[in-house]
Amino acid sequence: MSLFELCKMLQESEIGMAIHSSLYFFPFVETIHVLGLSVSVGTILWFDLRAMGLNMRQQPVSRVFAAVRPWMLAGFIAMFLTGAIMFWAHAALCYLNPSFRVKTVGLVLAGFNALYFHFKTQHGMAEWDNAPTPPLGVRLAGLFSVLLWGVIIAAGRMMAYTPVDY
Amino acid sequence: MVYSFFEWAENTPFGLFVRDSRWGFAITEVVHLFGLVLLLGGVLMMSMRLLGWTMTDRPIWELARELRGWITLGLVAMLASGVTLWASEAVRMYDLPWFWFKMATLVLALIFHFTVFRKLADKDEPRPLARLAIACGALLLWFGVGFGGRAIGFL
Repeated sequence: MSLFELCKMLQESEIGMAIHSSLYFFPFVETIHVLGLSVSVGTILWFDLRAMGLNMRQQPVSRVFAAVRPWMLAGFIAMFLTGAIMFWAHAALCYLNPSFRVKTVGLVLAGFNALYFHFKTQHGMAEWDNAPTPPLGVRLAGLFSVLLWGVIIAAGRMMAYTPVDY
Repeated sequence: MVYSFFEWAENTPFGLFVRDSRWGFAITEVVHLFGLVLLLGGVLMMSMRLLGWTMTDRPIWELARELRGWITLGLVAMLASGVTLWASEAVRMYDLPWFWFKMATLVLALIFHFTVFRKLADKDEPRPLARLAIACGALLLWFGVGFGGRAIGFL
């Protein structure tokens, strides 16, 4: 079975159809997805700005991270769940949508960026935790995060405007 | 009179340009979302601090000073892109109850933001009850505006 057939099966499943045709459930889920931006990207942004040395320069990087972490995690879990529900109802359409592919690649790259920062860059943290302007690698991680989330948001919105042959 | 103003806005070269261009509306919506991240994200952080849930070892005014510029940037982006979106379909907006709900909530949120929220958040430590009221007020009003905005698209 190809990936497309799998998506089509999801979309045409009973649950997929039910989500798709629901009068209030789908708008409700999408509202959470959009307003959830402020809890997910809206909080990770403050850490990224600190990592870039653009904001809260007097506070240790680790402290800013500890402050936003619970909200960030809760926000991204909510985004992932609501995103998955919306995908279920439009899986085949999403598969064919170029904007959705851009969004998916952006999400994977943002994930790698976060993992690389966590397992590699963060190791020397004690040396630059208090530095108003952290080293280049840390600043780049923050910059990549901001740029990638910008692309993900833009591609997500563009999905509604990208023509799809289905 | 209000209606003719809405009609005029939609027929300005600017309104027509956004309405008829292939990507004008979509790109403006993206700017609107970027503004949302800055504004709502900033208000959320401030509210968490006011509620005593985060960064409690630093004074409130310090966080307020750090976030102020970013929140203002988000607000400017939201208002500029919001006016643009409105101008491209002002006549349709006139008949939508949720549009007026959003505008009413927005006016309240702006008044609250520039009076209560800024003034009290700047003080060293407002009383716990005042902090609770400011945080809940700001979150309810701004998320109310966001909810109204989403409802415009669906209803």
